[in-house]
Amino acid sequence: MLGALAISGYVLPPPVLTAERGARRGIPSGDSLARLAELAETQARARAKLKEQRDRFEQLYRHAEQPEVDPDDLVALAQALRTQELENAAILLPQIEQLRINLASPKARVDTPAIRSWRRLAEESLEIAVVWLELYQNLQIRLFRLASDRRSETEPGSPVFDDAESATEYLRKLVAE
Amino acid sequence: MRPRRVRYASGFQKALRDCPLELQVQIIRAVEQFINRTAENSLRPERKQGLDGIWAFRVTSGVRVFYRQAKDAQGTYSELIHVGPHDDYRTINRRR
Repeated sequence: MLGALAISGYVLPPPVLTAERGARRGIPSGDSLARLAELAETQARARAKLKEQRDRFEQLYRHAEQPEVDPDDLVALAQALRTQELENAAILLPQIEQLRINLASPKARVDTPAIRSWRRLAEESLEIAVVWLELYQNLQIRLFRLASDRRSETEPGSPVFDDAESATEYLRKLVAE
Repeated sequence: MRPRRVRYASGFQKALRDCPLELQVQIIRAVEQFINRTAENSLRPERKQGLDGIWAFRVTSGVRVFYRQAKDAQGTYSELIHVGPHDDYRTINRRR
């Protein structure tokens, strides 16, 4: 049975949102070049981590594709990923929200080289965080699609419906069974 | 406007049966609207980024139906493959 145990070797802790860390200490003013350089370096590590997580999920999917994995195991795997996604979201969403607030503040729109650099880092941090959570979602959807295809080998599914009445009637009967 | 043609893959049927009754009612209503194209603004059918040929429409803010396009002798139809929880992280914080 696949599930939480099976994904443990494939998941990384969520990335540190570097610009958020910077924002907590205040949007930079003046020539905070050293600090910006430090943030950029941490950001590069977050990008690398995102790539590693993507690669690990590809490996996990390749294992799930093996013919001996049955549809119920694929669904269990997707559900374990959903649990992990929510744990990651609980960590990342407050940071995403704070970043969006900081990016919308008047101070973030001041046109200086330091602020422009910080803004770029903040926007990229947002993208990394969102893509990180979407990696989980996309793998789940791929697993559900694979499970559905495997299930179709023994359970053929419905006919094609041309109108809403017969299509919804079919579903009402299905859930009433 | 011509209604959408649909087919339910066995994965969708199983996922629907596993949903709570109240959600099943919402899903069936959303499927009806999807077929009749009567609530495109709330269903927001969209192609999923990064997923080859997978589309989704909304049942509620946190539940989506996933489907793909297929063809038979009569033309194109939507094959519903799964229904379940799904958050939109690109907008979730903006809604708060």
